[in-house]
Amino acid sequence: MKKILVSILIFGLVGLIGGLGGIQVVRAVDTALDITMTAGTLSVDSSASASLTGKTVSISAQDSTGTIANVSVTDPRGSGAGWSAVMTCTHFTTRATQKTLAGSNNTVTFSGTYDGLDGVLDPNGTFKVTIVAGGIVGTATFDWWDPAGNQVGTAVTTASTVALSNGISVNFAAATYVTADSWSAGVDVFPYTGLTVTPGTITAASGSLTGVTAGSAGALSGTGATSDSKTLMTAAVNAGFGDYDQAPSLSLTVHANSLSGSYSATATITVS
Amino acid sequence: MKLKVTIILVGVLLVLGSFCSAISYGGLGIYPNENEWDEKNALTKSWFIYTLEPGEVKEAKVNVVNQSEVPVEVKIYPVDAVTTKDGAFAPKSEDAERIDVGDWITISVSELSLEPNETKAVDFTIQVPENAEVGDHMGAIIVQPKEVPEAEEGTAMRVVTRVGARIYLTVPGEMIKELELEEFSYKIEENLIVFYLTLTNKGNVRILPKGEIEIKDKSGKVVDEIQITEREVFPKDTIELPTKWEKTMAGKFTALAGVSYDTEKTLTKELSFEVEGVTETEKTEKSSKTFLIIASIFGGIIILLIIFFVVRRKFSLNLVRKEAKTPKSSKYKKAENKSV
Repeated sequence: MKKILVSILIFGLVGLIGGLGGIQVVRAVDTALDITMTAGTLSVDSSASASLTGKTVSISAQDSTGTIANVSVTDPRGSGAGWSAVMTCTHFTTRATQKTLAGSNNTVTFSGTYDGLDGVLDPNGTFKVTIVAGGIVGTATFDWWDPAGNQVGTAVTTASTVALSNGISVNFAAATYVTADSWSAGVDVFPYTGLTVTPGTITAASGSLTGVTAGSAGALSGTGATSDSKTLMTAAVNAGFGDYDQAPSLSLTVHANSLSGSYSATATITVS
Repeated sequence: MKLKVTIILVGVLLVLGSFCSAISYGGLGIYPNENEWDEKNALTKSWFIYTLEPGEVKEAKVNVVNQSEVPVEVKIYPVDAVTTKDGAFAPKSEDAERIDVGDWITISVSELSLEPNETKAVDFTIQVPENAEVGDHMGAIIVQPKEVPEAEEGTAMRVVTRVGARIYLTVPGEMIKELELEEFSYKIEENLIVFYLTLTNKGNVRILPKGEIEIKDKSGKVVDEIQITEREVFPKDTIELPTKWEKTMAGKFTALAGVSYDTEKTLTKELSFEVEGVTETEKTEKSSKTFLIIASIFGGIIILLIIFFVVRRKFSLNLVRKEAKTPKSSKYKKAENKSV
């Protein structure tokens, strides 16, 4: 009996000690929980090129359409500064391969990208080069005419490359050139003033659309080789935190009786 | 066998085509160096905001970052800034003539090589001319890839992306803040009313107009209030600020535009307009639906008539057959009766 009582006592003590040991001391401790968010940078991405629907040369004007896919503005700056995405575009131009107008010397070529600044020329224009004094490259001289038909150069000395105008150069390969030999290269343009840009709906891959607005649809304007800027989308101050996507659609007026060939232009999308 | 090969080739081309169109170009960033930040103005972390006296020279740094996973060669250059026709900040193109801030800036380099995820600080100097006009001058430092891919064959456009760090430079003196609301008009675009506010800045500081357009129906009840789009008007410039009425509805309305640009200056203009009940597209859709409903009803009636006639004919045939059998038995019965 005594042994039983002693055993109960021992087990009781063990249990008491164990129980006391299990009690945790609660203390109030202040721990600073800070987090620093580093600002990212504003950026823009887009597809590297946009194709417009091919057309067959026609006796009447027609429209070619396309889309700039994946214009994406990302603003992880966390500053709420707002941003704008704008677009400019050059004229759509082409340069035909050269034709030999007189003589049998096929060593003259034309190079460069026509800037289109002479506009649509009834319905296209031609650079023309005519040898006026024969001889080898560096000795022979030539006259030349711009796409508008104006004689711009008189007795210009030949060289491996001579810059003409509007971004076009003429190249003389090594040969003996004969007086009155003549070559030409046609150029044509679909001006950016015939390019209607519809910025379209903005989707937010991340962030809120509040304060983020698309620009209005309309044709590009301007007088230079590059158009004036057109708004694609903007974010007001304290808006536009995140990732915003847009696919502006394009419609280009293609004039009648154009030169056949590839026409190209450069669009520049700027975010700031 | 040939068909299988063709299908596989077409599939491969489609996959390659979709891959090519998904190639993105960009991943560049530009922002003021930490030394240029003003802790009292959070915007200085994104833009260069300076007040400089005529003749003053400011040396500063800009950070250029390559956020992509490939090395990149970039061009860096200063430009003047304008706004688009509708008031969005627009740095001018690289080849545009520089006559303002873009002309006052000299950058230590014009090209840079950046490793993946690398940031480089670039020095530049702003030299304000002695004869600089008092007021705000805007520009940007632009970074863009040096090389851009060639356009595809056919009628195509190359797409180049640029990022700019804006520069807002103020030459101190008498600041004139004067805005004029020249015109308040509207157009219907994509079945929505878009209001246009023609605003001219007649002062020498940029203005960020705020305000709203209150739209009332013919009973004078306010049906909607819309905040005008936030854009900016540069000194001596005019913009056509568009604001869409997203809840465009049919009816006769009056719109009152209130534009504020200073604490106490508010400009107002009113216009009346009418939105027809249904647009041409809606009309076409509605008439198509009506036609479908009428056609369905007619179709249903015709089907019911056919069923009716078929059933009736069958029923009539059955009656004829029955009648053909019935007279015999009655004659017999009559005969039987007579004989009895």
